[in-house]
Amino acid sequence: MEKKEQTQKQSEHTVGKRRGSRFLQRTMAFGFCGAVLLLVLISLIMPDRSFSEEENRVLSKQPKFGVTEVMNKEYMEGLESYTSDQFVFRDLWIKLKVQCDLLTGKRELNGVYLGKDKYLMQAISEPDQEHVKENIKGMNAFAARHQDLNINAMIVPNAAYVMQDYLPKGAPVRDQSKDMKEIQKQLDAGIGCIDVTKTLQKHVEEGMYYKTDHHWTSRAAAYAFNAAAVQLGIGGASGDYQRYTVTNEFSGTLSSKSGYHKAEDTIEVFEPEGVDVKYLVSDSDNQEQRPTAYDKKALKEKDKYQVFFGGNHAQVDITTTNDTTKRLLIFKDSYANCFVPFLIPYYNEIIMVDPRYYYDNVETLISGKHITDVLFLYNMDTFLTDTSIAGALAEE
Amino acid sequence: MIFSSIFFVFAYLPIVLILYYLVPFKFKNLVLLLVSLVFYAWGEPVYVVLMLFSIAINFVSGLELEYFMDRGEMRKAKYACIVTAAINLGVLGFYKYYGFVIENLNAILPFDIPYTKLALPIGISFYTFQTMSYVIDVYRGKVKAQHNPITFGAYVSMFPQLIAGPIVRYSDVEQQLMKRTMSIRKFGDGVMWFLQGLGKKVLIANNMGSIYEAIAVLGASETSVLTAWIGCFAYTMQIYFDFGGYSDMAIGLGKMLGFEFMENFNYPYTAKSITDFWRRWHISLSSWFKEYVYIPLGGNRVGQAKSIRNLLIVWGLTGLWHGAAWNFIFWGLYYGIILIIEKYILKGALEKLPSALQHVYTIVLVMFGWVLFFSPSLGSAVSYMGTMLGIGGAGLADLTGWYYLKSGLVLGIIAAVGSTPVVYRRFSKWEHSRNPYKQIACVVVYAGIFLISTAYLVNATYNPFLYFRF
Repeated sequence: MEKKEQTQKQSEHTVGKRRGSRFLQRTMAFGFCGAVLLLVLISLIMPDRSFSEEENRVLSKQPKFGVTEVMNKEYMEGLESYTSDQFVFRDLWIKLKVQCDLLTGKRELNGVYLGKDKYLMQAISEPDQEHVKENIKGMNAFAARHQDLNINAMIVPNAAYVMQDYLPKGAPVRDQSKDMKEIQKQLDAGIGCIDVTKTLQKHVEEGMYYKTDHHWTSRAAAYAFNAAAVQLGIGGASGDYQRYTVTNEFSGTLSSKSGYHKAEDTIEVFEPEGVDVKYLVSDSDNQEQRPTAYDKKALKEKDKYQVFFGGNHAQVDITTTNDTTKRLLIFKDSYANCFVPFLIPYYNEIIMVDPRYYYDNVETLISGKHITDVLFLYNMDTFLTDTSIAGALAEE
Repeated sequence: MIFSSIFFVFAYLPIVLILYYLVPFKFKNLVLLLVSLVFYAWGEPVYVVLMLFSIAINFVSGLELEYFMDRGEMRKAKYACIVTAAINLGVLGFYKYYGFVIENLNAILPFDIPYTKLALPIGISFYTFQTMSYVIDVYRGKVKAQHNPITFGAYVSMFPQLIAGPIVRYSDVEQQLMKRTMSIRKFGDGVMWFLQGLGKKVLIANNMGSIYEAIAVLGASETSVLTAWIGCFAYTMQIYFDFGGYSDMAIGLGKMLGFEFMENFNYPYTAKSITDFWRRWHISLSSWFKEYVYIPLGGNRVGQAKSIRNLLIVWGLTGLWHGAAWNFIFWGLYYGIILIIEKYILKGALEKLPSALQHVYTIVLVMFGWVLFFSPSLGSAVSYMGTMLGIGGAGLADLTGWYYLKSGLVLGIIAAVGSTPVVYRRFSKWEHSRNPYKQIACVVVYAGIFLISTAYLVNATYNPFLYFRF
């Protein structure tokens, strides 16, 4: 601890010693500069891409330069993500990274587990407790205001929970049955809870979730519909369906997110047999009425799950030739998109509202459309991280 | 901006190097100052003002000290030195500790003092200590005052060590600021240092970090003894490779610009005692505290009671330097107490143990230290340590622990081996060998590190710098 000792110690390892022979030093100097410049040049020459098919996301463009943009750091952040997004051979780098991860025994890539049978499963997120509380409060207040309506909530558990046996051994997964119990406890008696966990677990081997996507399959939705029909007040539902395969080449969001592209999924569409109800669909992004719930164009695109209603819209209206008085309002996330086709024959009108994009007044909608039934349909992960339900349900 | 990003390696760095090598020597410090200010502004543009203020005040103070000392007015010089040190510490205190102090006051006082938490200016803990070393050394007559504001500005703001050290003392680079040699061979050395650091950070620290993060969010009831130790091991490796990697990159960048910086780490996890550990860990910080706090307080040349007091002061401050929170202070004092025990109670006893036991003793204490360091509160630190010791957790081992063991094993072994000199020494021989195959093998290794690191950077989802907040 004396000064002398200290100076002596410093000289032991003051500066990094010379690292190599003349050949190595020169090779490293020229090699590094050459490699960096080469990659930079190619990146500059190659035209910017606006969308990455591989990752299924929009890539950053060159940011706008200005004093405001610099002061609030938008310019710097934009430039950093621009350089990284437009970096040359981006897709190849991603492949290399995934290979290295797999090589070191990693079984979780960007929050996606690599399960048995090439199943990709999203790790379940931590709930946003404050918003959950607020949303449930909003739902209870909504139910109290509308005691004349038949209100139900169906919260669908996620693949990582339902298909635990397919997860890498020991991978930690949130116990969604606990979450389910908690939600049931918090929701007032005015809201009926539909729990399809057991139904899905029973049929896991038939493919209840896509291997490459975070959504459930039409098959899962069919089982769930049969299990929920009575609670929804649908009597004599047809249990027989004609199944159509619409694509065999679905590579969903989880393969994009993980960079793992070893499997492809089949998307099926179910048509009930012996039901003769016609319907027209329109949505807030496309007012034109069409006689189908399916959007064929989506099959040519990357995200083929959008074949159901063409993806998410603030509002979707379905009017049918069934002259019942039952009119259903659904608050939902994308899990509903493949479920709603099963409901169509049993209502006079169905309105789907996606609270994430919906800014109109719900009360006006209910009285204007003479709504009789309400369904909240979410997957557990979205429901516990949602920040928009309470706002959409507000009276004002 | 952090070094381990596509933007830094493929945009900022090439531009800086081209500008730097294009201009004649007398403008190189100016280029260095300007690009460093851009680097600094990148994270928070308004704080450039703070940086310029810091440069100005310490530059002027150096001239003032010289003026007084030339005229033999030592009392005035002393006051000037104290005032400048106080301003430096005042700025640091205001930005770093103000919120912490008010929070603690509010907990005691019957009323609440309102305050808004300020964003911490990047690297303020590092450059404040650098400027203080300058002023104090001028006062001590160890270095001459710098008369060129650009040279001085370049010293304070120099981007390689700006945000995470090493803490370069002015006396160490005084000569280099005026005159330094640049050569292709030195540049090549720099590249190797930089790539080594990049690999440490991107390939090992980030991956170890994601294991630690996953385990940290598990509840105590879901954490078995095995899982807790894996989590602690992962953090132990993360922080060393993160910080060590950053220091290597800083040294490498310095060499590319013609500078030689002091090494900041010397295989700390191979230490045989805690005393030894702190000679090897963050060397530039511990030697700063020794030089500017411990020795001025009297060091150990005062009575035993006083020298124990000195150690506790130094280690309390070391802890506080790492962050404005109680757990950092306790972390510092934890080491202070162990060092006192080693020095006054154990004395030479440790050295009589078998060498393996000395290593185990050290690494276990260090790992428990990191628990104090990474825990958000003292309570959670105690409960995590409890889990590690088998109290209150989910049994000895469970499937979750097995899962993390399996997914982190390969990297964990690479990290553990990489934190010792074993492989490194052999590789170093190859670097100096005359055998062309060994030489080419070295090039291939570096090229591999560069390629794979780039692949991970392109994918960067988890890329924090632990020392960014200090």
